[in-house]
Amino acid sequence: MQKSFLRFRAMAGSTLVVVTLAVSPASRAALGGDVASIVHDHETLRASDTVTSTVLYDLHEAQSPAGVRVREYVDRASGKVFALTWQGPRLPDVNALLGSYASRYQAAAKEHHGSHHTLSIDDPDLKVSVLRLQRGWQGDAYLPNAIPQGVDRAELR
Amino acid sequence: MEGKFIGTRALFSFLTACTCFALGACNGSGSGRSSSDTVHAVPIVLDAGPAQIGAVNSPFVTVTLCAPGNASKCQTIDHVLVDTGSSGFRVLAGALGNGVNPTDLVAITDDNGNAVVECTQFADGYMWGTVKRADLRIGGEIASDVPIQVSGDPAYPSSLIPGACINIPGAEEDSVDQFGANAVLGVGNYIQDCGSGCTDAGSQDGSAYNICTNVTPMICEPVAVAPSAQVTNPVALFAADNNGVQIKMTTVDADGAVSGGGTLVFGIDTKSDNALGSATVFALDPDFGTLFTMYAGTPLNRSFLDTGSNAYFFPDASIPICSDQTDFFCPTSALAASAQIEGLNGSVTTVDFSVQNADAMSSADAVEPDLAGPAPAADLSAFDWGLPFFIGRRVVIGLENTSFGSVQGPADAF
Repeated sequence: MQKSFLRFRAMAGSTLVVVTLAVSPASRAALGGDVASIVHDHETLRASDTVTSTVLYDLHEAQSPAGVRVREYVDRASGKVFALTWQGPRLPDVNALLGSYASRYQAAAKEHHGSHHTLSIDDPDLKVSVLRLQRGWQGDAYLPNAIPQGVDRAELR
Repeated sequence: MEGKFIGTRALFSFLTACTCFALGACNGSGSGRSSSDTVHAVPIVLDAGPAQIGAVNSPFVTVTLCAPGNASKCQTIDHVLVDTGSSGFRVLAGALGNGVNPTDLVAITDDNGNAVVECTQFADGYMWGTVKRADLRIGGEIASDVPIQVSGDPAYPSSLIPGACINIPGAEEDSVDQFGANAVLGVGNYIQDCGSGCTDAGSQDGSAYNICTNVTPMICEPVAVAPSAQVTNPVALFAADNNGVQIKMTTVDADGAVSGGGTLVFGIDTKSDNALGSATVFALDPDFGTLFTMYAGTPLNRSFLDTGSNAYFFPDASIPICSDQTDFFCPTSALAASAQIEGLNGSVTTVDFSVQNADAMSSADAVEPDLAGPAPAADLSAFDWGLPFFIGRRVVIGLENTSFGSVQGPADAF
């Protein structure tokens, strides 16, 4: 049993954290963006950036203290993020991760009828899938036309 | 702070005794518990939903909400969505005001009177509203002093919503129109809506519980909340019949029906008529509340049984998506399909189902047993076994921290 009813963080300090999250600029976002946008995403997660390189892409992985894992796939030729996945007990900043594509997600959400737990976009140029589980989240987004030739979609996990 | 917490706890059993009487009085049936089915069950209706919504495959019950211990402050709320995909009761503030106002409920606060306000995130948006205690009567069952969420509570306007709450670019679902129900009754597999994920002060980001000042300038901060003050599955707080629910939906014609119905039964093996019986039990992954589905040779390892979803949602690129309503499939002719559901305990069952063209369905129908739509075709895949799966079945939703035969909850059975 918890001993205290509500446990606080220091008021002033956490205010700053919240403000930082709130102003995550979409212009620096990841999908279709460059490596600098990834560093920013990982800062908001308070996570370190682990990079695994293959011939065709670099995989940037962030794991936050709260258990949120974000993977971003960067085309080594173009330097752009062409796919990303996330999972964990809560959401990463999906707005920032989707960047200029966030507005398409928002439009899909407003049109959406049927399940508060799944949402997907299945357009020729954009695939997004989000799952709200009873406990936790999973999601991915990728740009089919930007996947480097020779990369199998199935390896982008 | 600690003293107040303990005091609240000590008061709890006293309030429970009082509110049984109070709620009985406000419903005109204060005769106490019996083993009859009317006590531990409530009818489910499948209809078009609250006025102007046009709901399809949305199971609704009626719930009586009262201020804690106050029989003169009650409101009967119809069109409460039964959701096995979440835990806890959330009422839209816009549906209140006909007997109970948000201010009649008991705020959960810190010692300075600052209120706990919650962000509830969905795949398609978010809710924002206060966490308050209320008494709930569902069928004949009573849950007293339940922490619930008042979505869209005008005392804490959406201008206060933290950035982490809207980090998913969806819609604010704090109105009956946008959400599609007057309230949601989350009868999922968990006791609290968040659990241990919200008890660690160091890792809260505002996407769940917040504490908000009630004087200008109003400021909200992320806060950790003990499980006893989190929004709680009312079933877990019933005096008996508190280990889960059973959903029994009546079969309707495959081509749909204007309306339908069923029964939400409380308890598993707690009464003579709610036995687990021969149902196969599927243990869930306790970290996610999910089970395993194999569909068309594809493993979908984050699958779930969800009355809050109004169709089967699964990945199958071979089935055409409707051009005008991209949430659903529009096959040229009816498809017969099947999938295997497997629990973490190794139980396996084959489920047969059909998919019909959503565009060919009558707009007058509130029940469509063959409605299906696309889900993520990703590595993180799911089969969302929505309401159509429940039609013609008895489905058991077993709570965590309880056991069903040799299987430990969270577990489902059918």
